[in-house]
Amino acid sequence: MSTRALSRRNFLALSGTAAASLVAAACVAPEVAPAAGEGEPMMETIELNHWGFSGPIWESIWEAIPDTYPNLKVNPTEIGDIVFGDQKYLTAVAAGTGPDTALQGRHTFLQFAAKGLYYDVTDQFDASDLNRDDYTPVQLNETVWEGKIYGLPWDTDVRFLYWNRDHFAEVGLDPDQPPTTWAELEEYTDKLNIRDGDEVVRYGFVPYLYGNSWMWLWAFQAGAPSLSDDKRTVLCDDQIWIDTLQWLVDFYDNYVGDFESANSFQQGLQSAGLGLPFVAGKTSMSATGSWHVGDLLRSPGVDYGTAPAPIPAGGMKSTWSCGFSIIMAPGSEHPEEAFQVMRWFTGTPGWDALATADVAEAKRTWEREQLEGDPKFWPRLACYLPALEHLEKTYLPELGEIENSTWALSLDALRNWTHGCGSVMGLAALQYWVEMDNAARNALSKQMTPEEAMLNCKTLVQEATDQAWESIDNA
Amino acid sequence: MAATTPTLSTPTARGFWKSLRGREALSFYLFIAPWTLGFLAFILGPILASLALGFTQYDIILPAKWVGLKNFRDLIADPLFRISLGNTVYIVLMAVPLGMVVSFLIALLLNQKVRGMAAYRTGYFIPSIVPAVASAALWLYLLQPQWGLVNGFLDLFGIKGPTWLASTTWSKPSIIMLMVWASGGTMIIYLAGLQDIPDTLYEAASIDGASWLRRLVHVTIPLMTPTIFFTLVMGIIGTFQVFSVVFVLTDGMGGPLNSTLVYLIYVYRNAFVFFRMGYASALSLILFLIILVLTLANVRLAGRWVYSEVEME
Repeated sequence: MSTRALSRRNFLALSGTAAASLVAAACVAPEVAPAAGEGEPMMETIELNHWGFSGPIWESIWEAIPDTYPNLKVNPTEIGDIVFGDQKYLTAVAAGTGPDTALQGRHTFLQFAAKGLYYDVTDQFDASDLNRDDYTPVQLNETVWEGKIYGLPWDTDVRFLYWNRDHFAEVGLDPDQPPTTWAELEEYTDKLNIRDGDEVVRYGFVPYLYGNSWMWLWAFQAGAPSLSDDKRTVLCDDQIWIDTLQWLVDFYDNYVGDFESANSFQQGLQSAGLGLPFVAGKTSMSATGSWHVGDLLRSPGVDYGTAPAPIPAGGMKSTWSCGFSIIMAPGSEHPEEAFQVMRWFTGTPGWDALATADVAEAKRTWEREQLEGDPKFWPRLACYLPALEHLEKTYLPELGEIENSTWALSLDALRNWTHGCGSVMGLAALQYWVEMDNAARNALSKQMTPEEAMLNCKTLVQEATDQAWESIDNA
Repeated sequence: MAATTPTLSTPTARGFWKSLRGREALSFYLFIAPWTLGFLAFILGPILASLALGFTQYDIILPAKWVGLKNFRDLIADPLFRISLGNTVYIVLMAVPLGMVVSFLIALLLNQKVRGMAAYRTGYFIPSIVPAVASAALWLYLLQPQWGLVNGFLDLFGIKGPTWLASTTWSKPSIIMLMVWASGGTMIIYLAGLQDIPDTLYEAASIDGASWLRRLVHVTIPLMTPTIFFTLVMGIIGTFQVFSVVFVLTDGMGGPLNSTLVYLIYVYRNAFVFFRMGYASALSLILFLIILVLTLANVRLAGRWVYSEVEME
């Protein structure tokens, strides 16, 4: 007779049963909708889950939706990084527990749409009061995969050159004349650089590392292609990319110096609480996005101008845009209401609610940081054109000349000379973004030649693109 | 009658649980139950699934497609696999011995009988209970090139400090410093081991005229070898799986220029950034095999240097 009342086997069996019970208990049974009956209100409140940004501003926006749709309540949840990847969204949708609607970065939109991660809203779009020309065309186009609409574009941005007029005057440059070519950019940078022995006091201009241009801005100006028309062939090994990267490397060699030092100079400014180099007066020019006007409004001491970024000889005026779109997740139990939310959020009422919340936040910021002057608000660029017009009419008259001219520059770029980040990166957008960044950093820090770096990018991104297409072709 | 009468040699089940052995068994099962339940409910399934997924191409959305050994063949040609494994081995080779030596020396100091020892012990232990994210954020400030305390200290001696986390040369040493700083857990284990050594052995050695150093070499270290062995094995296993600190310090990228791309960051990137679950599972399987082989080798070699009152095979 055994002296062990609980054998190891029995213990493991019991543990397994208990664990299975634990898992079973954790799985929530699907809620059964209550049957309509007498005495119940005519209009049932429908709660929708939205994944995107959160915080007081966003809660107040979603609190405004019953003003338009009294039967809707939106519960917002923040899920971390939604610019690239959005792991939680993907895994939740794969497990059938996704939200009703979500904000999604436009970099990866096509990559995810092609995998069936977004609900096709074409029919709802066509049945609604919306027209395709209500939206900025580049951004609407980025929500379309194989002729179907998979989301509504919400906001966007454009990138251009900012220059510090005081710095220009200080070194004898005309404060009203920014550089317009790469040659002038080099010449101006040389004049604007200030060093004290080996120490950098001020950079004239630091492409790539400072601001938000990446390699895309410079290469697009030189006319570089990113993908073949059928989006199956990656073209980052094109000679224009290699030449562009070579120009960046030469620029560092001649006017910036060591890549690591420039990087740590910027990190130093930020950890010392001095903010971005252009705002801190530590660089005289910056190629970055339209949102930077908001940063500069909080730093009224910087007298600046904005213009299209300088272009190479034989190049073209160009920039790139990104931003977010709102989508409906497959499996939403309320597709009609979810589309109403999408429509409201990207439409004028949603933008109005956001602007009201942003203005209140600007007031709090001015008080908290004890900033000089009246609180000022720089609106984001809406993709829905009536909302964009509404924002312009409501908020631009309160701003100064430079903000108004920058707004006009942004709209001109949006209409005429921008590329959409989503459409240029294709079905392996994440890999394209990461490998392009690796290529630039490898070349700028002299780990690879520009040609080696771009060929390496081509190999890795092409492999990922081939895999993505293979999945689609075999589906 | 005799058949129904319990005897001393055949206790009933109820009687067993009242016996000393039964109470010990009950305690044992209760203590291991939380871990066992958690393991069975949340870990065993993913482990088995990962083993199988290593032989598939799987992007979470579309069904997994069997590709045989393709993932493993791709690994051989993948430069980032080699880089990430190289970075991890470098960190293991540096951080594990360094952490053990520093912890051992601190444990020796903290084993002295002086006033305020509890405060010193607490002070050295605190870094190990600081969450990885908080300690990484702290070290980001300390290692900041222009205004960080570390370079400020070096500046006192006229040394221009490196750019630490922004430098491909110094990024791995920065991470190793952080890991050694947070090795208070190992120190506590050593301290417990040191306090287990009977004073009579030191007294006997002293009577024989042994100096402090000889007592350390011939009494303390031999008797500490089981503890050292345990920390070595756990250190290797844990350091091969370094992730959160590097993730926070490098914003999840393993930069600059992949110089801190440790193995698990690369697994994570493939799984949750590029959604190559099959490839990430193959990478995980390789890491499992590496750790398994090293642990078995450690156990096999232990007999040569670990002192034990129970003979080791």
